[in-house]
Amino acid sequence: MTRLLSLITLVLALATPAFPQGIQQTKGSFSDKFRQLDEVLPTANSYRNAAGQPGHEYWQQQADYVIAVRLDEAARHLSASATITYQNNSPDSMEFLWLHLDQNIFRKDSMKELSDDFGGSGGRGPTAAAPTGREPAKISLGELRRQQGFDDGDYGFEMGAVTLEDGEPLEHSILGTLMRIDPEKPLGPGKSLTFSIAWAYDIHEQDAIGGRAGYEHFPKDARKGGNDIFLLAQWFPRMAAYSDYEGWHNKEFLGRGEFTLEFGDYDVSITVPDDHIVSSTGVLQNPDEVLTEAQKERLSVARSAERPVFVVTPEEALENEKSGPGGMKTWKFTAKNVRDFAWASSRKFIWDAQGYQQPGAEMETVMAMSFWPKEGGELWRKYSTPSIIHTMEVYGRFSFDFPYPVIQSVNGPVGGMEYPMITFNGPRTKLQDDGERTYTMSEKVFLVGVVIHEVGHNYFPMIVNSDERQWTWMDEGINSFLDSVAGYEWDPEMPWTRSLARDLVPYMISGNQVPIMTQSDSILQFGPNAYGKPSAALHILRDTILGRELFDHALKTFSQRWKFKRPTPADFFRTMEEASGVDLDWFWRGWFYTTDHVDISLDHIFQLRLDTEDPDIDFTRSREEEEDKPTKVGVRLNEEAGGKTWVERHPDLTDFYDENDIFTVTNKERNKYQKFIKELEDWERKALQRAVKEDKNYYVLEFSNVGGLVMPIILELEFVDGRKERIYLPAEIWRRNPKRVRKLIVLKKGDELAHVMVDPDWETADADIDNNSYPRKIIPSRIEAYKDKRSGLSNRDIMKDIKTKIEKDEDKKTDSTKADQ
Amino acid sequence: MKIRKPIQQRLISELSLLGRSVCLLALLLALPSFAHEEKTALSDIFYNERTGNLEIAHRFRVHDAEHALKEATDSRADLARSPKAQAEFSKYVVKRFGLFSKDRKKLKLTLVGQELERGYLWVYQETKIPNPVGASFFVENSILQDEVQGQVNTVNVRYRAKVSTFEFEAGSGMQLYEGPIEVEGNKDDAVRE
Repeated sequence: MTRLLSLITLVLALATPAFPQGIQQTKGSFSDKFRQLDEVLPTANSYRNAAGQPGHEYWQQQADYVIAVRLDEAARHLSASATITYQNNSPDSMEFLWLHLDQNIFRKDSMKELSDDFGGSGGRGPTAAAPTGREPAKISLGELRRQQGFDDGDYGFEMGAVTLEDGEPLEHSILGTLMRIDPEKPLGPGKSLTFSIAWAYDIHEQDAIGGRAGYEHFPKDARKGGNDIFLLAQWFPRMAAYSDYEGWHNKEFLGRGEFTLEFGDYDVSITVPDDHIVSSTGVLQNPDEVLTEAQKERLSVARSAERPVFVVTPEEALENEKSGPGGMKTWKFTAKNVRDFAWASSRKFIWDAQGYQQPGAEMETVMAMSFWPKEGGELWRKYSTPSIIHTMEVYGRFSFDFPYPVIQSVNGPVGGMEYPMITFNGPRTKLQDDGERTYTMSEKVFLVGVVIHEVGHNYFPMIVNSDERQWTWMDEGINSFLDSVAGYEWDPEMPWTRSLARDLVPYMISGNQVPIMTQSDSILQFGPNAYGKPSAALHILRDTILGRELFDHALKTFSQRWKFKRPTPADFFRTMEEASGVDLDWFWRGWFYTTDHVDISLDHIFQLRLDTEDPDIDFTRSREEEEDKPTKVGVRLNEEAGGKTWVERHPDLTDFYDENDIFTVTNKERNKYQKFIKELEDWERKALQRAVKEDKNYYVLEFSNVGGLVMPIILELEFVDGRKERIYLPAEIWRRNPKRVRKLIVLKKGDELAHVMVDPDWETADADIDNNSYPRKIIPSRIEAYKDKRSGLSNRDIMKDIKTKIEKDEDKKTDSTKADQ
Repeated sequence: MKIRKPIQQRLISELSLLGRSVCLLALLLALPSFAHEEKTALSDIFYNERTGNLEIAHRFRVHDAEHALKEATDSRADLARSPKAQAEFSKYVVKRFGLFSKDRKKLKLTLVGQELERGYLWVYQETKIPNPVGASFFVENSILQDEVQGQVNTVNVRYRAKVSTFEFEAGSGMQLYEGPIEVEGNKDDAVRE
């Protein structure tokens, strides 16, 4: 425990970016919240310019693959060979090339395995607990199964030959999950290299060992030996990315941070048992060889259908589960301009499809397809393909028309994962004792939510190709924001779990926090950091700061600029400003580079009235103010006691000063006033006279910034007559004093303020509602409010109570103790 | 129970001889990275001076809570729609969360109730603010950890403006909260006009 805490402290020290707040002040405590970000962001250049656009010399590499792969179902073994053509579009000469061999993470001696912290934060797999002073070590059955899985298997790539086109061997070295290729001569700018690799590996059981792919076994299926679902991802040697801003993106795969790859074209031939159904990135090139007439016909109908059409019905899939293959079949897929390739295969799949129409778009019809075993049940039939289509409808408005010809959702052991044109999603139904398959409301929310999210990832980062290893938030944050928009457009009543700004408050006030702009492997509280907080920030930017028109236009600009290209956070920040026309550096700096939270306090309201300078008016007012003051306590007590004062006992000794008070006006004052008025400039006199006539109410509101983040101040003014009005003060109000500001509000005569509330709709993630209210109101805590609610109206069982009969007088005498709870 | 821990520990300390940075990075290898969000839960402990109560509010995603309930009690209830199942879940939470005085005596917490709020299930507990107010106490939180792989629980203890945060994972054990410390807000800092 102490070790974990001290590690956290150490990480915070290491992870602090240099001067996110600008130059440290040594005199006074001014901090420049509105400092422009230019000095923090990377210098703009001809590859990515200062406007956040790809520069006029933008380049990116390309990697094309021709792969033949064979699945040995019984042995759960994959063997394959590929010809890779790597195109060097950079101005650089490349002495070596890097590839990812991700399956090697499952080797017993992988860096991930060796560095696994027993009893600490587990990886993707099961839990274990190190011994503490009082308790013995614990190991979960899941962790035992994982270790046994490792014992039984021999995972990782078995590499075959690596050769050039002419068969000459190509020098290469394998380092963990990376491979380096050393061509004889450096690969010059504009040149390409074609080489071949052969490999094989054992597919691991996903439930046991974890990971983003693998097989799942179904022993209870009506077939000797049961059935498997195979999900294949990270299954081939993939070219690592090489960029203008980082060079080779070659870091050991440790299981957590995902990453980025190059766009390219794929031709993949997948040989599987001939009774399997294959779902894959890309378009099927040889339906005549692998599909039945009925299946081809149904696909054709599905292209223009308005509801999903079965290509393989549940009955057919059930039958197919029992069968055995007669031999093998080869499914050929072609995919253009994708950054990765994944596929799935099983004889268990039910398959449905529906065409999504995008008239006028570069891809007019996109085939949305779902694949699921009977265990997915009605939940999948009803909601999977419709969720895919809904995602394209919503995301298309914010970015671009879906450019790929297919998009799929496949049910298997993986909970949720994205690849170009194919996603793996985990929700299942439960088989009840009566043979029915049921699902809970939560499982439904999970299915619709995860399909939207994973399909959404096709836009970010599969097409807008950000580097997830470096900046997890760029795809997870933007995608979480959009999936919540899509969720609320599906059904705002559904209990979505995506956070609103107010839900982020506990995270934003917490101690063990790092800024959003932190490298992926160092992030603490990963979910709120990379998914929740960026999503909330974007909602605030959209609904509160920029407004939907400006925001939507800016996000669309960013998406379209970087479609099929490689953006960085700087490109996003710059584009959003350029396209919206609003300076947002304070916003990015505060929300993305610091761990400040929002807490704006309304400290005082002063009510003021203009002095007219005219003694006949002002002196009278002063007298009224004096008379309005409470009577002095001593004087009141004297009166109550009944005694008479000296002046009351000697009325004949009064003089001028007894009849006139300090507020009596004399001509001396009046002359002074006239002289003052005469000496004014014309415009001064006019302004004064008008102000006197209008007699407005002046209020000065004092705010302080307790949380650190400068934010716009949204005010709800409540008037004495009950009316309410809203005022929006832009965040720039804090630019010269980020700690305290005052605002003058001028209201017309007769409009008197009764109460003012800051952020009445809880838009800004303000952490303390107590100080938002002036005069202060007592805001009940969450539990106080819950107790109040519980004893009130909403606790009635209305369904039951509505059957209660009307009581007649005779009944009342006998039923006197009926409680009205 | 006999486990492989000794061997792994040896390897880890050998790695640390090789290179501090490698070991540090690897040990920090924290949380699972599904492309959808990971498993977290939040507990908020608040000193409500107005009522004199230490108020504890636990927040869970309904789906996570439902999964845990299913694993722990074999219940198949639809948590979002069954108040009975929600009450079951609260009982489960109560067993896995505790506050302990400095001398490790368990503080008695009252279960106030639970409610759904959009996609969240909240479970509420409370107890009297310790006497003296400045007393420190231990927090132990193993909610969901046996049932959900890689579960991470965040606990915020709030006293006026000060927030102390603790993170609990499988095996974290008890963590000590030092007690309320008076914190001046930044209102008194001199500012340049």
